[in-house]
Amino acid sequence: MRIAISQRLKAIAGAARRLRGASVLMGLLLAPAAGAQTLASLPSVPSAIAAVGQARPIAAWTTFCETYAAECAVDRTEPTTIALNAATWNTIVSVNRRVNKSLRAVTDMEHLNLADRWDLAEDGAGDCEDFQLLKRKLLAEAGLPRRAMRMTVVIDEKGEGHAVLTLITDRGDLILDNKTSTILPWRQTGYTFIKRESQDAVAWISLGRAASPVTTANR
Amino acid sequence: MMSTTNRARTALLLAGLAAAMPSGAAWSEAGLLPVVASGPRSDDVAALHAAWQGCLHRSFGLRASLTSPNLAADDALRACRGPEEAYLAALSVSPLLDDADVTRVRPALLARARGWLLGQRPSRSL
Repeated sequence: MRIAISQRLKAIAGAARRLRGASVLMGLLLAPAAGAQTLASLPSVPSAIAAVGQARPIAAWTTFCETYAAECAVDRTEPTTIALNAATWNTIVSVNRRVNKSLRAVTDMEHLNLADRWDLAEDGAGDCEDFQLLKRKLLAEAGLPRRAMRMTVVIDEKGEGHAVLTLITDRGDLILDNKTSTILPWRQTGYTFIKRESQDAVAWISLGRAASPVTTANR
Repeated sequence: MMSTTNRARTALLLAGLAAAMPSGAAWSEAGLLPVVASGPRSDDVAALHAAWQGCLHRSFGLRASLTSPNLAADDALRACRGPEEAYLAALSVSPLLDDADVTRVRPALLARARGWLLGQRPSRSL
């Protein structure tokens, strides 16, 4: 009898442990990942990149806009900045992380035998601009103003051209990147900023004071 | 069709790459020349950037033992104009940038390079 009771207690304890484990797993899936950035971690003094004049559009971007006109259209009734709150921040962090994890990084030359092509990585693979275009599409579908999410060209730590997504927010210009899932204020990326999509027309603008003053170690 | 400017820049790129290549016997044998159809590959840009970096670090290292860091940095930038121009030529025909972008950003790139030399950072990344 005692043995039977103790065995039953062990079985109950085991079931309880499994239930707790399942609850923890569900929590991990539903909640932001441990160590996920918080809104409070952003600088208290917002900083925006200065824009100076027009820039020539990228050829592959022009082709992309012909195919995906809605992705490039500028709705001037939309807000020009994203008002960050806990909900929008969590959405941004989640989309950024999810896209970075789910797409396979491959150059356009390796993928499509083309020097450059912009698309939405429908086949699950793409290079930097494809990552950021998909993030913008998903964030726009979640309700963020497309007008405040601008494709941006920078020069990276290897001296190469690289595409990132600038979120123009009330906490400054923040950068979504496929090289890191950490969302950084533009000044902390270490990149040299060249040009980005206009907020007022289907066009590009040059960026002034191009070099972010704080450089980072190799990523 | 390439503009005159792009042809000149491409020639500069090829010169920069050729300087880093073996004697050319392999290319002669194959009867091939590199074709730059729509811009250099990203690894070409990265390689030329690394070559410029290397030149700057070597030149700065030599000069910094003889003169002030500021003068050594200025001298290194002057001494490495060739690799710099080869790198910028490649960058100007890479997919995301054009010659107008590179012309406009050149001062910022030089300032960044100078800053890194003077910062004596452990990372060689510019």
